[in-house]
Amino acid sequence: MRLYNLYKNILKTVIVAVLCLFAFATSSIASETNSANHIDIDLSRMSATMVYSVVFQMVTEPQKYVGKRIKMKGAFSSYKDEETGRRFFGCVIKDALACCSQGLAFETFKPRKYPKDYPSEGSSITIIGNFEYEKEEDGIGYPIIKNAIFVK
Amino acid sequence: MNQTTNLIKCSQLTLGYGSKNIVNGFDYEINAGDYLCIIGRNGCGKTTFLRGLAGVLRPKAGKIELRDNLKRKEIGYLPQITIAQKDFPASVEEIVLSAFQGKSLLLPFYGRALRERASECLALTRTENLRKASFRELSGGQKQRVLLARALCAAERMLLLDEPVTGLDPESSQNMYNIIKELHEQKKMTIVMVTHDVEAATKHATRVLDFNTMSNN
Amino acid sequence: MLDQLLFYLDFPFVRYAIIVGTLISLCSSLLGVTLVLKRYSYIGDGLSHVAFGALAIATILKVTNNMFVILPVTIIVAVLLLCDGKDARIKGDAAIAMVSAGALAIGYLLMNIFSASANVAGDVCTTLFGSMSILTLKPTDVYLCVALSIVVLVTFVLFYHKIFAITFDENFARATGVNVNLFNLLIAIIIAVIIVLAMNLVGALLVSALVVFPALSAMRVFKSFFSVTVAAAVISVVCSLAGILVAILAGTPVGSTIVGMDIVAFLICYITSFIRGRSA
Repeated sequence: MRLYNLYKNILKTVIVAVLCLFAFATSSIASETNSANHIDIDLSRMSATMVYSVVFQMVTEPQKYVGKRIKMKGAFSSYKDEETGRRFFGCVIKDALACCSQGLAFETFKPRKYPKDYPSEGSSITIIGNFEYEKEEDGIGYPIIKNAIFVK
Repeated sequence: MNQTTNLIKCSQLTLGYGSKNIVNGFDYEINAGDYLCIIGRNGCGKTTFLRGLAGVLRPKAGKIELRDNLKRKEIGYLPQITIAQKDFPASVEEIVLSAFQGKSLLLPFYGRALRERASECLALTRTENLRKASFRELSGGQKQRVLLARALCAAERMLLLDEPVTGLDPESSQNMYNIIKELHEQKKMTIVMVTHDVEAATKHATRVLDFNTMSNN
Repeated sequence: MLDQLLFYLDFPFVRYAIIVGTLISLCSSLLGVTLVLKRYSYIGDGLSHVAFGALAIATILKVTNNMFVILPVTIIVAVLLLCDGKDARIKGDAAIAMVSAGALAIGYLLMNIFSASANVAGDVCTTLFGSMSILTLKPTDVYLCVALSIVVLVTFVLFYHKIFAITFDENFARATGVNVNLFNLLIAIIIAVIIVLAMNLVGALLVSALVVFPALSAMRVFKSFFSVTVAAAVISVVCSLAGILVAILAGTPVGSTIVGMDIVAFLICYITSFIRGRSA
């Protein structure tokens, strides 16, 4: 009897877990609309934990996110590659522990002059743009948000 | 005196932990129907010897022979209670039934025969009313009786008891001694008991083994 | 808030996190009861540090899946520590302290010297405190976690009575003919597997909390081994689910939020037993 109860309890747990799984699976059928100001992934309305995780996914599996329209809010940062002389701009998001910061590079829609057309380092920005995966000559790729516009 | 049957024969038995030998080259025989009390001061090897008999500790040299078709599973063992057990969350029933784990292979639950046997053993130690009670809430005497019931479940012919009355009040001790005496006389069980209580030992026992007089140290 | 939750549940990794988190907390709580009662509570802590050291080595070696290094190393150490036998109990105590601190130091040192990623602080932080790991599992990790959890659960159910017998009284079990050494070995292996899995959920430093808290909470209130085991499992799963959901909604680190929930559950159980003790 004892063990029967144990089995029963474990079975119950499994059933609940499976039900949850189905509930989530059905809720995940995403709507595919494509208007001009449609945003696929809105990071600005997510919690820090979620932002970190989504950006992590974007960096590790960029193929899945190419072409998606992304809105994100973070701190402005820039850095110059000393070898190529190219300057990168980034939107950096601090996570809850502040040690696992994640960021995405971006390129603005209209060319701008640095530093006068850009916000100051570390100031809060919100951008919307298309997620792309740019390959360099040596084959190493990096994710970048193209055609970005600043929004309020 | 009627003919005695050897149940256990120890020859040149050496027991110990690590590099330390506690029992050295010991010869001894235990006969069917014995009520054997083992006495001696702390650290003289009484408990070690009992652990050897119970098969918990392997002999470093010499051997322990089981005679007269005695099987390991016919020997019940009541070890000293540990601190961890004193507040262990388990029901009396769970503890007593655990005695069958050496017999059943992979049974997911205990059959009716085993449950009935457990009830009998609880009745023999006068603990049947405690069946559903929590072990950690029992008194010292009740705890010992439950553990004795567990030993009985695993035993058919012989009981090895390690200081069964230590820490009990006089009434509980007397109770315990009565139960053991009953098992010896009515159930014809062979009893081997390690004890500090020399007076009781000489009163109930049919044989006394004094570890103090052994050549060891 | 429900809207927000449903929106988050659209992401597959959130669903993975919930499923894997549930299974891991279920496994860890079941064996947690045995670990606490055998007075081995901090072995979990020691083993998780070893797993962290193994993770550092795996990262340097650039193994395709870290688990293939971490799992065997942790299992070997667990077997050495747990199957040492009773006579070496006091030495075992010091051995755990030595191994755990040593592995932690070496792990951090290696990660610093041979850092493969730009963000060492982030890597260390997430493996130690499990701030994000559960939300950043790769699909292969998810399958591995689910498979291992199921193996652990099945083993536990099959050997439930044997595990009880050995936990309550190793000597007696040995005297009745139970192969105690074999089952201790099995328990050691299962514990190592659970520690490695749990590291994904709450991080190396918080693993022992996940293992110990539900067991201690259940032991406060329940009186038989069976009810303690079931209650620990329920408490652990509820706390982990609540912890994950709060973490993603409020943006707090996952590992410490789960442990926070476990502490709340313990306090509730403690107060319950206290009140019951008074009124009785």
